[in-house]
Amino acid sequence: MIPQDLHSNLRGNLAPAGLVRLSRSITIFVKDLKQYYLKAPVLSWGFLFPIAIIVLLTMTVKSFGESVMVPAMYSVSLLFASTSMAQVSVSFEKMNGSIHRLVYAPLTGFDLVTSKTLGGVFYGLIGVFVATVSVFLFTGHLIVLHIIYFTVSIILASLLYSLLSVLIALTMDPLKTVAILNIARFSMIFFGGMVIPQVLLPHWMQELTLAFASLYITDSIRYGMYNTWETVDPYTSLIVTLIVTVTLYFVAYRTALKALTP
Amino acid sequence: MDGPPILVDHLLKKYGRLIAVKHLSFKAGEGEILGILGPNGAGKTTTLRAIAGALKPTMGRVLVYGMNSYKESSRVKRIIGVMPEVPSLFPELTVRENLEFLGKVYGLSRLEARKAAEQTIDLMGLTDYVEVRYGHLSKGLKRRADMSGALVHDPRIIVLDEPTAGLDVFSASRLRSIIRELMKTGKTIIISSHYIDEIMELSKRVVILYKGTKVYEGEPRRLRDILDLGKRVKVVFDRELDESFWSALKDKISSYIDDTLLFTGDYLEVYTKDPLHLLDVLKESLEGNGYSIVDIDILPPSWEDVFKRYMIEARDPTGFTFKSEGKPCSCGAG
Repeated sequence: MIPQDLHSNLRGNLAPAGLVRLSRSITIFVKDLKQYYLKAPVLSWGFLFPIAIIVLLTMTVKSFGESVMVPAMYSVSLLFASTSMAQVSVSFEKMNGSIHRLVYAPLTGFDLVTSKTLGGVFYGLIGVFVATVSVFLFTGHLIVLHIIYFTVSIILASLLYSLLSVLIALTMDPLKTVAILNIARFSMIFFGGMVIPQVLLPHWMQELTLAFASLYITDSIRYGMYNTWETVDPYTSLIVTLIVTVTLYFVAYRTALKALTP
Repeated sequence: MDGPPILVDHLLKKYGRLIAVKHLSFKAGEGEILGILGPNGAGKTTTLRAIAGALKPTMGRVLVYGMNSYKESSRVKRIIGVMPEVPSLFPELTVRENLEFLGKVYGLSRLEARKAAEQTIDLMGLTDYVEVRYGHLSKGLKRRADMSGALVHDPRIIVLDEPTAGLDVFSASRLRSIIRELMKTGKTIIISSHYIDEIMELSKRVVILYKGTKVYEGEPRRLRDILDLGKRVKVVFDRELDESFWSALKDKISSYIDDTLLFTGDYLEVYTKDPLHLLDVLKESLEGNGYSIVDIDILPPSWEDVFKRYMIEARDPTGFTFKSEGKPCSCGAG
């Protein structure tokens, strides 16, 4: 028989609310890893595609210089890896209805957004590892002059990109999620100063690049690694990234709340 | 936690212009099995979702042991187990992984979740399928796994939304047996279904909804008494009746018949309030013409007929509705 009065022993009665929330988010994150980390869309968009881009970018290192292209490699890798999980985990669960099972569980918008974002951050960090190995293999060295700044930038960037994909996956029709995400990804690559350095773009387009978070992220990584930047100073970059991340979190939280309570 | 397990208080839910539930009020007591019945679009699922704290009411409230189901949904959801209308566990995970996951999401520790999953799997007869992925299960097994998902955290209140919809007779019967077992545990169970017989058989009390409005609340048997459909009489003749003889017979017995359900030549099924006189007249006429009766059944009205008749009454533009315990009133919505 089912255990009697088990509910009286629920951890929620004993542990601080924040810890309970975090442990629930981690439970969902671990479940997502089990379910989705080997799915074809995750592997192709989160792993294979960044590798292909990195290989292409390494060929341009000599022309544009290491401090221009290596941060771009990290940025591209982070972008694709961090945005690949939610497009699968949220969209699949929306399509097969299992996300609705979570509606009846004692979860808040915070729990759902955190859990889905953690998956993206995890994959993002794998992307950073891939980029690091690639850079090391190609250049024979690895320069990180401001390790703490670099680490904070990487974590913030993976959070931002992951949140962006969670927000898109939560709000869009599952069949359109990948298409919308790709518009966002490629806009950031080409107009966000990742592949084409901002200084090489026409003047009006240089203004446009300021609207893309990827510009600030790439410059942050550049500063963390080479103590230099192209467009925005390192602290402004970090603050802008932080503001965008918090805003995305808030919007995703509100969206998830709506998704959880029709 | 004060108050009854469930108190629905003037619940109103609008989706844009569509009013899904109109000022609905009812309550369920401790250990009660309450059935919610109604045609498609009656507001059953909306009501269940509001009870489960998964829906923001437009107006009104649902209290679960005195807690507002929406405003205190985190607390409420921990004591409610829901089996949604459609299979909705995670297809890539095995039955065990699904249940352990849900247990943890509901706040159990890893060990507690494992133990609870094992016990629930035993209860639901899923032992042979624990390591099978949910997505690979048959529909009947999926529904059993769904019900396991509702039970794994040992909730005080169980909400079952169309638990046997789309199942074959064996799977449905198995699931009903499990529900009967659950009834013995003293938990409060709210069950909605399209299958009238199922609801009437399992529930001590029913709430009937029509277009978002409560049209009946009370014991199922009271519904039969109110409508007074009479008895369902089934008669089998020894052979097909001659057409002219049937025409004459029909005129003779028409005053005893309230409703003819079926006539196929050698079989007659009717509703009558006076079965004995009807059978006397039938027997006399048939024997006088060389026919005989080979089988007779006198049954209470089927729940399906009671429900259909009741829904016809509920649609009556005069606004005829019943309030608690089936007394007719003109109380309108809710």
